[in-house]
Amino acid sequence: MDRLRKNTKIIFGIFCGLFISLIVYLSYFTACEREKLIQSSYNRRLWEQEDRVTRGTIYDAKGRPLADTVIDNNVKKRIYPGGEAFGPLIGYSDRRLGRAGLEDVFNGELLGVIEKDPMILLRQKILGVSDRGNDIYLTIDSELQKTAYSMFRGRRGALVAMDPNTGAILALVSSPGYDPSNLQKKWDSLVKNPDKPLINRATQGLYPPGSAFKIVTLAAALVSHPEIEKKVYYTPGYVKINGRIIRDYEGLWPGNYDITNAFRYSSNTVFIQIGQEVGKDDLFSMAEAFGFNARVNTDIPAATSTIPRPPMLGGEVELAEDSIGQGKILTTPLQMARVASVIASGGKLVTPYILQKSVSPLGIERSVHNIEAPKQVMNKSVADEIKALMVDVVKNGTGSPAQIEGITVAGKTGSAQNPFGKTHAWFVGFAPAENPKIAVAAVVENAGGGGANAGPIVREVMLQYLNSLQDK
Amino acid sequence: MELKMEAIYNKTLSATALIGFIAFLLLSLKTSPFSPVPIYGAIAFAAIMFTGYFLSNSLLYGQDSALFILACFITELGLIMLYRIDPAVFMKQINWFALGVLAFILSSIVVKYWVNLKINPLYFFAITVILLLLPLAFGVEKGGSRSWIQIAEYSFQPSELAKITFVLFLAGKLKDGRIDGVLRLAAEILAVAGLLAMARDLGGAMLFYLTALALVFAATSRWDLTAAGLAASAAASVLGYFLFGHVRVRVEAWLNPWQDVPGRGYQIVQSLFAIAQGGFFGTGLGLGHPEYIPAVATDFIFSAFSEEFGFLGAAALIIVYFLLVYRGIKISLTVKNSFLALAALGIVTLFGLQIFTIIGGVIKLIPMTGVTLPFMSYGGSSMVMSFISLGILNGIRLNERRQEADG
Amino acid sequence: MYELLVQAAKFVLIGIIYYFLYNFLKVMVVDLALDKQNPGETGFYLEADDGRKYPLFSVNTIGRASDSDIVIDDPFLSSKHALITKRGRGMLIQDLNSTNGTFVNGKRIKKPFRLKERDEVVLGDKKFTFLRRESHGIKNGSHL
Repeated sequence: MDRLRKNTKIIFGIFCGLFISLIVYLSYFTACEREKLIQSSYNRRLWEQEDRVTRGTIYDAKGRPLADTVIDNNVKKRIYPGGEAFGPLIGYSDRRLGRAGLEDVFNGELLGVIEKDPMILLRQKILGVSDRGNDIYLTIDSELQKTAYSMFRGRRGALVAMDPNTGAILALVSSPGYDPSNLQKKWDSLVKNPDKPLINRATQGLYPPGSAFKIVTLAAALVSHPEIEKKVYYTPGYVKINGRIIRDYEGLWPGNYDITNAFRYSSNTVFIQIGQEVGKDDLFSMAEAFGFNARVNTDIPAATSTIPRPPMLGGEVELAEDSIGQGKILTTPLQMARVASVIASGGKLVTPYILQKSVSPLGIERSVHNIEAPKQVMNKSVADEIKALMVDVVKNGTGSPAQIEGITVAGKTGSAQNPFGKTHAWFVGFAPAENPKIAVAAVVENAGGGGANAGPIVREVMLQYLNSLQDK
Repeated sequence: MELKMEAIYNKTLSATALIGFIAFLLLSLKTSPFSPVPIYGAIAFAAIMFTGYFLSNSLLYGQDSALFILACFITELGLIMLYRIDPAVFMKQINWFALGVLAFILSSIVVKYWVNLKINPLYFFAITVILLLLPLAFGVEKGGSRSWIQIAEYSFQPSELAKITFVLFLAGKLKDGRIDGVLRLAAEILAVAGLLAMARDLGGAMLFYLTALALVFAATSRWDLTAAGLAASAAASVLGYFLFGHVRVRVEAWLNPWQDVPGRGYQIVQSLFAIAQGGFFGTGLGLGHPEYIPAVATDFIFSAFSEEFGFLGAAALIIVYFLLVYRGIKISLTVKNSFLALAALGIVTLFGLQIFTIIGGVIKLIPMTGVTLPFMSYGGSSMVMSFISLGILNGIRLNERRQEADG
Repeated sequence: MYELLVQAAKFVLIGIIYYFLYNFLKVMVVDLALDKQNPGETGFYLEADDGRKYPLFSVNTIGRASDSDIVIDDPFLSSKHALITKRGRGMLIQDLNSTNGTFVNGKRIKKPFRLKERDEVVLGDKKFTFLRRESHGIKNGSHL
């Protein structure tokens, strides 16, 4: 009899354990798993919320709407006043087509579901504003964005302009673009378009950087081998490494080049020699210091720009290719704008961001971005030396199409070889050189030389932005 | 003091009635134009509860009132959710509730005066087997398992009644604290579990089997048999996973529901969405989306409840179920007759395991098995039989007291 | 409007649900306290008309005498009036040749009588009910 009582107590103990595990698991679920599930795109409650809530407005830095919801005959309609220039950046939000771009990234914010404080939710209910999401303000200057977009004239390419000191993105263009209004009708043709307008090339496009990467090679050389500044290199116009011949471009005379001239005229063969002196490990670690091989920790999702880890043995050909930005290095235009910013800001690597603030229906403002503090990549003196060389590139060298009267522009061109035809035209630079306000990277796909094709676009963007600063 | 206890119970009864009135008033306001029907529901519920309480208290002196109050409390929360889901279902369920209360009192009385404890357990075994054979022979399929029989417009799940006869069978077999013929008993238990498995009611098979194991352990203290039984059930689960497609589907839906959300993961994912939406305080009554959850009136009623009453409500519900188990265990401990003690323990074990299985299933702690949540899920068989189970517990307690007092 | 009401009501509902639980917590505490009942107690008691409770031990003498286990100051009671003893799992009552007799359920008892729950016991003009202490009853400190 006592045995039965004892065993009954054991069974009761097991039940205590089972019921406690239920409550513990439920607590864990509510505390940890909940967020993820609420925002899951499978969750029909989210669609419900979308129907009920008036999606917040997306504004540019000056308060001009880029995506807005209007109510037309009781039907909510999302309109995009910015048009084609903003399509790949802003994206779309459509029940049937899903979401893309910033409409996707900031979906929780725009629907207001991110708000968790029950008191704020209650106040919103009482004030009758609970059916409105948060408005968001971007760092984008929409006039600048439109100008930049128009400069591409429909060619495939991308441009990123940012404030080199803060990382605030001023323009982020992908061409060709599309107008996200009435997207369902255009959808099929957009999907079939061989130029792939739905892709945001500025953040997702991965290109070889070509000679624009010489900024990194130069930085690695000046940091680890300061004496090369005074050296002179001879080039016969080509270089042979392990049987592979790499040439300079046709206009370059064989002869002796110091580092200024080699950079000014973008000599591949000289930079390969410099790269050999730097060595594969130092070049690789400098590229990583510039932000390659790391996910950009920012509010705008971007592909990771990559440089392959050097092999333990050999790798001479790879080193030569890396030194001039060919081979297996791949970069987004966003990353190249960061490279320019490093030089512009005196050696600091900034994290780009696009969201300035969000404003709840009650008027509560929040700066949502949590930017990492800039990292010092190199001494300011080294950065200033490179800056001087980049100024020279625009004044006397390949970057001359980007010259602006009365303003010192610093830049570097690139003409990246690729398997799809003519070279990709690159231009990365910043202005004014003395006190940089804007850093820009632009790429035009298969357009030919960097200076002639990308240079004028960058010039126009810089000019307009600096003028707009003057006006204020 | 007796009076103080009475006062506490009266407070809990009033709290239950109050919850009902507030909740059904809200539901009345929700329907536009204003409809008084839900309030009638609340009145009907309170009337049944109070009548049942006073009737049982006067007929059954010294009963365990807590059992009845806890069961009514859970039933009420279930009724509120069922009205939310479908008022027609609510109408049927409240009738089942009335019938359940009646059955509770009747079964209490029957067990209280039932002195003839010498019934051969084989009779109970035979009844269990017959009950489980019925649906296999004449049954209709519902929700994937063939465990229902249909008489006119009413369908009935005989396995609900079989739970009780099965427990009585085991209690009779094991009351002397030893097993005459381990193999024979094992064969009998496996036969019952096998019949349930044949009806594709795997959750039920598992419940019956584990309850049998618990009773064997409690009566005999044979760790070796218990361990062997657990090992066998583990082996059977693995075998089931490889042999039966629907077992595999359930397990895979549990391990990774996100692999196939529109398909096999659909049910569990919808359930999790609902619970997630509830958060700590819930969305509020009438503001959730039970219509998104499949089988919401039966298997997934806990998820719908969690959505609208939140974590706090769900945790309270789990605690209330736990209190029921606690009261049952307490009855089993006070009973001196080993047959009755084992019967009480068996009923409680089956009841507790069933609750754990279904709640654990819908929150994805364990794989989902289609068993009902006692007192809450929609269904006449489940409701009435749950009340009868409680009535038997109550009766066992009364029976013991009667014998003590009368010698 | 409905939404607002529901938002307010949901806190009220949760509150009442936990009030319900709190009361059952009290029940449990009482239960556990009773599990540790004093040794010697039988769990039965006599309840007088005025609500006073007299817990019963294995042997109880009832009478006016101050050395009785249960002292009842009543002119109609003898000094040693009756005896209640534990026998098996129940209780026996027997009259100790009192003047006015011991009545159970209206009948004067001659032989020891086995009490049942809710039997009415009359000693002198005092009426008692024989009860088993509820496992959910609360002890009255002054009498224990």
